[in-house]
Amino acid sequence: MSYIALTQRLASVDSNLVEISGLKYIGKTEGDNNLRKLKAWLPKAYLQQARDLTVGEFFQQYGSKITLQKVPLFQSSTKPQLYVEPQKPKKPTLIERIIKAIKGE
Amino acid sequence: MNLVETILNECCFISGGRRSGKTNLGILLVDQLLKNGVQVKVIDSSRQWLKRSSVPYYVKVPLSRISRYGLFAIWDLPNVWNCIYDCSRLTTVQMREFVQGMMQHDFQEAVILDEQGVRVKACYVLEECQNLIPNSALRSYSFQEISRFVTQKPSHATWLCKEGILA
Repeated sequence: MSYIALTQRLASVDSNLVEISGLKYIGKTEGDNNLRKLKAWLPKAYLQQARDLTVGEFFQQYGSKITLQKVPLFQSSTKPQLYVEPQKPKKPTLIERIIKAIKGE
Repeated sequence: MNLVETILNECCFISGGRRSGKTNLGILLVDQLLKNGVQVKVIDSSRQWLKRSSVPYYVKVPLSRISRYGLFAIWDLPNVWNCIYDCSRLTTVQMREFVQGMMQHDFQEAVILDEQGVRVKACYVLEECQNLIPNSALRSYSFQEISRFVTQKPSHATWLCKEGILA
């Protein structure tokens, strides 16, 4: 079992969660608190760039390897549908069972 | 790097300011996971996933069904994989209770399946995770189930991989 955690407030997330996650994507980061926290995860050279990333641009960090990724806009052909639980077949009532028995079914 | 295997074994963290495209990236990654037979549960409080993702189902989590009497005495909602749980109606505290209960249940199921030698290929997506796992949360008693899920399960899966038990 695994997880993908998303946040816009890096400074408000438990650092352990960030540390445990092997694969990190860092997009455009704003705010002093967020940038201060980002210092712990990104080398200095990338910090300024992290401020200037555009929509869909992310630094992918896996181990010590950091690469810039451009993520295309995702277009889905389907939309999520409201989940409806499959209904269990109803048990026949006593009267229905008596009628069935009379009819000899 | 095999993206799906990496996410399954080592988990993924996405950070970015507003309008940076992080939900789009999440949706894209989840699409890849689904295409590779990974089961997914999305905890969505932003309702963005309902509009754009390729996850087949969604469930509205109503306020009234959440139990007020205990942390893990949870709702009578269907426990469905490949589903978005729309938690936009819940307060942050209720959302945490909801997620904790669900994670506890799924963790226990995964352990049972693990004992039977079945590899659980499943992934939780935690949108706006600063609400679910805020600063110092993983050290707190009230977040113990989320903490266990986040810290223990991935390492357990990694250990199984290292031992060659998982394919």
